[in-house]
Amino acid sequence: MTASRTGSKYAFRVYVAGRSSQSLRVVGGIQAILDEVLQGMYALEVIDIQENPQVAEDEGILATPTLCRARPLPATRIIGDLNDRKKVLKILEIR
Amino acid sequence: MERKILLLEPDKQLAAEFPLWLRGEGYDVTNVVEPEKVLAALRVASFDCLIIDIDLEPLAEISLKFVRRLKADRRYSGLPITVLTYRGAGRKIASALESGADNFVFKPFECDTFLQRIESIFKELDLRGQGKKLLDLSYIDYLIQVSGDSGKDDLLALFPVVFRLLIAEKIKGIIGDPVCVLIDRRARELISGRHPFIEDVPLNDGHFQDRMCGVAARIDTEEIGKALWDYIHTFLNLVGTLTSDILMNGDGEGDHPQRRKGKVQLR
Repeated sequence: MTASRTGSKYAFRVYVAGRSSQSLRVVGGIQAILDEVLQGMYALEVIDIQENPQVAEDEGILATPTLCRARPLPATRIIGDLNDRKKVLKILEIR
Repeated sequence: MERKILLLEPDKQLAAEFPLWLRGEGYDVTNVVEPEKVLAALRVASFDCLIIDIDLEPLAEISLKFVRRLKADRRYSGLPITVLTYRGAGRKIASALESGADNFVFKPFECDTFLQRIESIFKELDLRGQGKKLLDLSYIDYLIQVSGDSGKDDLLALFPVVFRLLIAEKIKGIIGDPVCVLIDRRARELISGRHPFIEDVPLNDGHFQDRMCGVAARIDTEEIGKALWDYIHTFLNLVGTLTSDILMNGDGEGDHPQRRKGKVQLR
């Protein structure tokens, strides 16, 4: 699952476990926040750690859901409730 | 009451993320990044649990030495200790449990599941304070996931052990105790001898020593899975502490590792 905007200033990865309704809700919530704030000018990659367990270890993922702002650097991450718009924007330093 | 968690998270990135998340969930978190700081923290404050990430070498071994020290010290021996590691680190888990850790959680965990586990620890603490014990069967879900790690034939590997513990050890109180069977020595004790649902296990099989779930390939998973679940349900219903909801402990049918893989018919 990837929402891609080539060359976007902002790139994100969200790590979820499986494709449950809960995971879909998380991804939908993130997309809604990013669409609103960045007007769609971002890339979002969804990584299912059940399908790619090694990725989680390689990238030091502690928990799901985790949202990572991969670009611009430095990368930042947030764990847990990703529906809290204010918290997400603050921690990921988006505008 | 705000619960106090002492966290030993040596990984720099996680040392920033983990406490932030836990604090957001309402816990009072003190994070230390070196094992040596654990004792210092315990001397100046009391905590409801200690969580240790044992993935960063060479600190893991030092951390486990501290676990042994804590468990040998009457002042701290009652402090519940949970270790964190990535899946597939069976030896680390065995070492941690032998060192005295009370339970473990695999990374990456689902946030909600982790919080349930932590709350379960606190609930147990409260009950312990009242001279009672907790039977928390949400652990069974974890055991299934653990066994599912090492291959599809291993999915039910821990069920006979759970079964044996329930029977032979008369329910110690916390279903987390079966995790201890991951330790080779205890596993040998527990599964040696003929079991109604499994064949004799070749305990001199080196394969078993290196794997968490060495017995599973020798059982007919589907048939035995049904039988064991039936038995566990029946048995625990007898003691009046179990509901199917607790056993299933997922947020939907597709989320349960057993049902997702079509191995066991839970009901």
